[in-house]
Amino acid sequence: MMDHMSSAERIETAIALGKPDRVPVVPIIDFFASHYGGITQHEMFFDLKKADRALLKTMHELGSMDGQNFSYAGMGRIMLLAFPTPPVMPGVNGQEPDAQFQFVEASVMEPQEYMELIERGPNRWIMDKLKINHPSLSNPLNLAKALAAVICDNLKFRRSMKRMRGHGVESLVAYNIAFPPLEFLSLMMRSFNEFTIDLFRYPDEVEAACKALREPLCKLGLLLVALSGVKRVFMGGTRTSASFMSPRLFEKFALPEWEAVCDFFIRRGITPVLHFDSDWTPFFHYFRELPKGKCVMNLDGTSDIFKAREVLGDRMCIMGDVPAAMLKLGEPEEVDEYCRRLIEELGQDGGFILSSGCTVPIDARPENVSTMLQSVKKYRK
Amino acid sequence: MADDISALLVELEEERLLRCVREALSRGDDPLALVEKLREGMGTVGERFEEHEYYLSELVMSAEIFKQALALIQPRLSAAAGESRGRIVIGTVQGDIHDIGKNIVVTLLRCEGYEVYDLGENVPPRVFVEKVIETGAGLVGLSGLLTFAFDAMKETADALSAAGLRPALKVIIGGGPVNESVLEYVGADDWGRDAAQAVKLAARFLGDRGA
Repeated sequence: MMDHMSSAERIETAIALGKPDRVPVVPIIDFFASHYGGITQHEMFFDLKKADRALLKTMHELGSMDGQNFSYAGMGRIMLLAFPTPPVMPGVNGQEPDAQFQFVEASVMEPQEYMELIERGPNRWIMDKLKINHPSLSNPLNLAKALAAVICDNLKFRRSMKRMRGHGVESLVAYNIAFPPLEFLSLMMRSFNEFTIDLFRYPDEVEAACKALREPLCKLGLLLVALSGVKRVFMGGTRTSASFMSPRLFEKFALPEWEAVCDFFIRRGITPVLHFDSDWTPFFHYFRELPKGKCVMNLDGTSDIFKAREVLGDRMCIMGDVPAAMLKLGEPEEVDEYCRRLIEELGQDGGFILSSGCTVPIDARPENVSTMLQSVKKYRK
Repeated sequence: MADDISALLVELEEERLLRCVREALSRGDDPLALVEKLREGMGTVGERFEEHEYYLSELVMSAEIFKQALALIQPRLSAAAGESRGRIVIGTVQGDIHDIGKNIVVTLLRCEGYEVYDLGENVPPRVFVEKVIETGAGLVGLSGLLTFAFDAMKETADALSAAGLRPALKVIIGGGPVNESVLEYVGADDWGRDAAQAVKLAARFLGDRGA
């Protein structure tokens, strides 16, 4: 049987819980594709044309894909700007050009700042925090230059998306990121241990700060959607997962946020892609209340994706989850069998997108990546 | 009152527990008995974690309360009272800077009375070898979140073997993507899915209290 849908139609059909002509495959493949395609990680972050060529070589040799999930390609300048603590960026600040990109987690706020955030206003407070890493942003001229760089990169992204669409590769979420406030505070501002303790010691202050941050973070996501033209948004969830947080804390702090943030985008016709790392299995049922066919639950191989199908399959598209460890250490037969199971058990009635869980590692075995990409045609459902 | 200390820790009642500890110390209660009660409480927290009644958030908070209480008791403890249950060298392997899981494991092992040498993150194999030789540790914990870390774990385990430290020295691994296949690849002695399992592995390899 031949494909008769375009990649975009296939993805949208799956998201709407329909059954496409076959299961779409949409991995996170930027790190691997750049390595396989013969460019450095630094080049992938800072040279979008080279990154696109590396991706095309990967597809040509290992198999086509319907889309890319989130990609860092070309996002070097933005990633350096967006964090109050500088990440490990390949080729920057003494790092090797092929170093692995990593977030550096450090607390850049004290507990009393939850209330300061509200008093000062969340936008000004966030800008103050960014100035820790980028003191030059205090100068309006430098700030204007930084914004101009972001706009310039945005134009390059749009050209890249158009170019790749010509090769049948959709951008699932472009660079549209919307952080729920708890995740934002834990990951970028307070760090995990301190933030967890704050939930017990300063629950009212944390809750108030999160409420204040909700609208600006959503509006930032909305701005990115407008700039990219892609009406799907990536929402990263880790710190509010069951690997980190108890159901009691989840219900009190996180659930209202997830509901409100999803609602904000769904009401505007934008699809939240809930990119959930770590274990969300005990929390799946909470997401049944979200509007039917309007979200994607993207799992990383830690949660039980088969359970997700059982609990949520009639409510939202499930996406995932060939584990990174399997792509690096497994045999092609193991990858093939796992993909077959995903496609047959999760994809038989539609509403499923095959993906890596979470990122295809730089050092994945090419034959394993190829097996994953080819499986959607081999086990056509 | 000492019984309350254990229960208050389990219920994560930070202020009440610290008040109880201060009162017990001012009454002249045996500080070592207070520490034992705190450890009992941590044991119950660990059980609740395994039974999915508590999650990592409760584990982190209980460890924080334990640390606060211990800081109050410590000045009253004689040097001999803090006898170690065993020495452990731990770190995130070379090339990886993720430290959340490793830090939680370190905290819990210290709560359990182990002498833990935390080498931090991005630790080369040579540094693990040197620290084990220096301290005479019986257990090494290797942590990592990236798939790159599997290779660094393997290199570290091999370096410990090449230095003639294994098999007397046990090596355990942990971190997000670690599983049985990673264990086999690295050639470690065992792996842990979470911090509570790491504590159990330490007890298994270094012996239970009093053993």
